[in-house]
Amino acid sequence: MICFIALIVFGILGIFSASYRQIAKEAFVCVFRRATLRKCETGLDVRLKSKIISKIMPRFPRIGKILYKYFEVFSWFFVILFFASLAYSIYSGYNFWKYGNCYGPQDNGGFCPLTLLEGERYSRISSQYNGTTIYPSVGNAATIGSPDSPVTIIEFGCFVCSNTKKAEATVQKVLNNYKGKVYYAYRDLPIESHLNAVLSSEVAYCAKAQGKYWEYHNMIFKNQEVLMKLDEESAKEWFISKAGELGLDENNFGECLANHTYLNQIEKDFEDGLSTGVTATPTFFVNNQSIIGCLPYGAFEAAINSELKKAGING
Amino acid sequence: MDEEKIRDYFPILEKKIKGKPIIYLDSACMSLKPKPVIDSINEYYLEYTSCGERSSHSFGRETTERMEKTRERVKKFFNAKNVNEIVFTKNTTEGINLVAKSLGLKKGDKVITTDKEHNSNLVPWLQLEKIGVIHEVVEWKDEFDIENFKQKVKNAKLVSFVHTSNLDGASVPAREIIKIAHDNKALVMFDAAQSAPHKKVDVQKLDVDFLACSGHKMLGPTGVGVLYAKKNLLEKLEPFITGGETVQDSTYDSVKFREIPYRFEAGLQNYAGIIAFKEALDFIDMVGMDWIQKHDAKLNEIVSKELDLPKIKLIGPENPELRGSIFSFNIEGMGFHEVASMLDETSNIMIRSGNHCVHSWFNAHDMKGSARASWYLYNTEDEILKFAEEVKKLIKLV
Repeated sequence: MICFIALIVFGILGIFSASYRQIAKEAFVCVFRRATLRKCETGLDVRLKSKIISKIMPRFPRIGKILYKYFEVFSWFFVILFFASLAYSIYSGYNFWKYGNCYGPQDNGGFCPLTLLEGERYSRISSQYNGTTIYPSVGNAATIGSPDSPVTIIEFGCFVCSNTKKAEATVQKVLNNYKGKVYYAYRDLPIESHLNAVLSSEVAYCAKAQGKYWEYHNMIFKNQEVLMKLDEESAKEWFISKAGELGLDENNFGECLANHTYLNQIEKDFEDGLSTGVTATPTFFVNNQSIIGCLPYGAFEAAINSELKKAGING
Repeated sequence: MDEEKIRDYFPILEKKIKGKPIIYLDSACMSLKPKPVIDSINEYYLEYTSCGERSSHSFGRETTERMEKTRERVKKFFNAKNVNEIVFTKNTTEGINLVAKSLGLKKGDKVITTDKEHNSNLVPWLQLEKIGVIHEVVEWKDEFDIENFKQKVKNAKLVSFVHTSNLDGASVPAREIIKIAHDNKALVMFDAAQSAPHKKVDVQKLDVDFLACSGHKMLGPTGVGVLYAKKNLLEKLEPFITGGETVQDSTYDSVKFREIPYRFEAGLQNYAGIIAFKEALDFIDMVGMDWIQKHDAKLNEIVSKELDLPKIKLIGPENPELRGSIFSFNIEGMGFHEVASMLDETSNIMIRSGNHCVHSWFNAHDMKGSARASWYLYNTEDEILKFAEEVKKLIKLV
């Protein structure tokens, strides 16, 4: 069975080196012969066994002896271990694709190496909160859906955070698929280090005052890359120029921005976010279940369905 | 002769693998090469690369002269009567095949071999069975059974025996066998691949008819062998491979072959190898065959004593003196390839494992193979002791 392990190991190494490719080829012949109930004739199994035992024997003679005696058993053990690892890796890969973590819908926040391949799905906030943690609430945020819906989703996001933007498509999918079952609110958590983050939140609140919140909300995310490159003054001018296009009263809008009318509200949103334990954007609360980062739709689906189930409703 | 002085001639022995020196114990397969042999090969390629026996320019003449000097040297080494009794071949295998294919054996002719023949001295006869040649095998246990041989040799056309077995190092009583064979009007050929490097082989004293050996087992380069054949017999042989160098003249419908031995040396030869082979024979003579034989016996005595253990299953005669330079064995409970592979991995000890091209014997004895240590004039007592020590460590694994 050692040839099977060799096939995998040298098959991978063979991608980088021709000499390993030859060993992988020998291992393949050996595995093929064993699979067809014939003896491995390449001698690779003997060479590998000898190499391994020769390394161990001089330092640990007793272990060498045990390994020599039960080499086939150890080989089988490693093959089984390999298949178990492979199955688990496939399962983790599936979970990562579906839920954005390695553990599936019941993720308890365990380490998932696959996330390292993709980079972080959220932006950390630098502020620390040491007070008592509270349950999240909708507050004065803009909302979609009925407050009587069985599931409330509260998002803490930052308009100039790329991960919040990435999550937008998933949010739209959730709102479409769970129409009538979900009450959604977007609360501001502008990350200090992101250029024009607070201004964007103010803009959205000013637009909300004129009944155009979601138009501005969507427009900001659509133009996020432009905003990230503008200084505050230019960004302000740009926002005011867009106000007319979206049918807002430009004077009122400009005044709202100049007076920082909603700055306190934004600070409240921020404080609320911290006090609910938010450390990164976007963070979603599906009732009391949290989803951190722009995770795949499956993660939301699982959380919403479990909340619906609790409420006795089929997802 | 001082062992260390001999070793100085072998540059490869200075080599280290993973910081440890090598212990080469596979000389029955391939001997190491002394510096004069290597230098001679280099000299041919650096100083006078050319065709021998055909080009008349100075390089060509040099090649021809040196090649003929080797032939003369081989004649002297085996004490042949005539220099034209020496045919250069690729190796022992080619020499035996030349005789098998050229002797004109026909349906009903009987050839006998021992049961310990290398495939090179078995397969050619098995092939001739297709045209009706009868092949019989004489069993040879620890001691050669002369009485059995006397029965088998009756009506035989050819006795083709291994002189010293590469399986276990045992040798047949050559002179007795040849005498009995000749009394029965049978010709005798010896496969001297293992004997020529280790003992004095005097073809005239032996009165052997054909004798084949390989240069690569006697310090010479690879691709060089010798077939000795008595002049009168060689003249009767039909050339086996024909073409360039074998022909004196030809028309579109006829050919006149050259004189012996050239008619058997078809095509462009391994000049560098043949020329360097002389240096190998000079080296063996410098050390002396008596010294080599004593050295072989001494090392075999040491290893046989050290590894006289219940778990060691020896192949061949108990008496180490009868096993020349070969120690063929199995460790009970351990595969022979594992033995060889682990000795190589742990201590750079290089031995052979498998059937040693004597599949027929292993099949007949229901064995899969063996591990085989074989030494030569450059191996030392310390190396043999180290080999034994490492084998003992392997025994502890099972």
